[in-house]
Amino acid sequence: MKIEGCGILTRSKKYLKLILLGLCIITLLVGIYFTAVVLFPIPDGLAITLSYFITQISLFLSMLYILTTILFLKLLPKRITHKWIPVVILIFGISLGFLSALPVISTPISIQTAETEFNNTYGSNWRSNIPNTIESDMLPSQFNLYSYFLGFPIKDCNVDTDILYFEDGNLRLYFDVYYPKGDGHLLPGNNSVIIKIHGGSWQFGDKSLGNVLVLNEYLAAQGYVVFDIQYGLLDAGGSSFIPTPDYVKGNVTLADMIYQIGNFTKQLEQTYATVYSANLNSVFISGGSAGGHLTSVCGFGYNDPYFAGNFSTALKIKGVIPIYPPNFADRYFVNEPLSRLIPGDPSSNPLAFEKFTPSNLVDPNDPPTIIYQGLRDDLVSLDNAQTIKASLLANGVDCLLLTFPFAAHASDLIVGNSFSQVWVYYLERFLYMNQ
Amino acid sequence: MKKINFKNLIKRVSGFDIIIHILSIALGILYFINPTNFLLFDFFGIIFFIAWIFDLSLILVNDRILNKSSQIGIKMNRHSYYFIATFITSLLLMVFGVIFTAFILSGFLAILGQIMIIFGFFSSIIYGLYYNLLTFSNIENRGVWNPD
Repeated sequence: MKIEGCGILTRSKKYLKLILLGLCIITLLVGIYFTAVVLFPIPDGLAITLSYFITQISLFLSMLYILTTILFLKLLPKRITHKWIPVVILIFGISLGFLSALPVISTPISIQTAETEFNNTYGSNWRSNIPNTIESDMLPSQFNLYSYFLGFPIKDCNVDTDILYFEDGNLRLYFDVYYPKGDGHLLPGNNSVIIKIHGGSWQFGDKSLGNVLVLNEYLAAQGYVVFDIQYGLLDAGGSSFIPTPDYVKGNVTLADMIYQIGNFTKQLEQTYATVYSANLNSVFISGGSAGGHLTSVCGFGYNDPYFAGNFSTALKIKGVIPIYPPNFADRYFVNEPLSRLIPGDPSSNPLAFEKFTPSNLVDPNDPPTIIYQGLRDDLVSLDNAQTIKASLLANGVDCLLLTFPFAAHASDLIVGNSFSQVWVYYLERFLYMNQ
Repeated sequence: MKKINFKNLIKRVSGFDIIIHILSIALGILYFINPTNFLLFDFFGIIFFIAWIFDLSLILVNDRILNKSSQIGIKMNRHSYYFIATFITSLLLMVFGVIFTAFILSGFLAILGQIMIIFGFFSSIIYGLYYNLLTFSNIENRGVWNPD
């Protein structure tokens, strides 16, 4: 009886080992695919979607691959006599972990790029523009491991949500506002305004969840008044994993979106600046992806005659912050369904296509600009940001282009990740120096 | 070529690792009481990451020289499996916690995210400390290690 019990135990141990070995092999195979997604542009919907997340958690995955390799080595049958087999497996596992960690390992390159951009724009002594008392309130370093593994520390601020600012038929638009708990004048932000425009391919997305709300809270706690706004989205009938409320969808064009954002600036002037002690002499516009495009159109088109009367004249735009912004209207708005966003085509409606290409709107009076661009972005390539930068520099306007190796589209969403930490460090310094 | 003295190596690694695990626990408690961006915590991040890397190395080296037919060897080998399982679970808890807290600032999921991060972090560090103590306290124990 005892011997039979021992046999069952040995057999179940054997099965457990086999199951674990199988799981290890599956994990390592998935690891190879994930690492390929990090390293190479794979023109596949799943790979592009995965790249949004994988590049932001690459060090976690790297640790998992190394742990799996160690477990695999421990589980290998003892009858394997070739000494080189465990060595090869170990080298493979460590290499996989190393390649997977490249987005984090490349952080010094991102920092060096940002430093060069700041040195070129503000001089090598640019840090002296920020008093020590102010800098002590900002992030002390460009990157740290505790924010990466334990999450970006959330700061306390006031938040008012779902304030209606626009209604037209079935279309309703709301905004959320994040503002400091105490007197914003005593903080680096000095009650400067940041208008944040979410992304989502002009068809999807929402304020709040889709608009890096940890950063909204952080900036509000730093003394900024952050307005996170909705705008009308094109209802083209498609579906997305990005949550999108129905009441913002409709037969909307880019001109409508700019009109709605302009309407918000007027309401900000008339009502909300007083309610939230917002400093209208220091306003920044920021947004990612489609929001980055609208940010650029609003920021550079604010004083353009094409948009005359659209925006409040009481707001002084001090900076534009496009994040992986699409630039070329004749590239993005010529195929269905996005062609519905601009009536006609580039030959029948050239003025609209010209004016919805941000680099064409730039003039010498435009505000300084800081751009975030991932170098592994399969949706919005680097040449968009480079064209905007070239246009600004040609007009004598300061422009800082911060690039991030291995960063995919939407790679700033988890604020503790290696790209976003560097971005926030330099962003808050840019905001302070231009307010 | 000089042969590596693995016993000596793991004595040093586990001894140093015990110290940085204790430091990680102390700084971790400080951090979770008051999570702010502070230079001391940059040091904390480096410390716990080194502790993790040393843990991985120790499991590898132990596996090579542990006498798995001795009673303590069997116990230590079993704990190395438990530690790997705990470590993998911890990483998964932390990564999902970080994702939750990046997108949700209030309510049940935000609290759950925070708990996942705290639980994940401390379970990997505390089990790591136990595993290191187990190794260090048995270094001189005859029969636990294979002869060089």
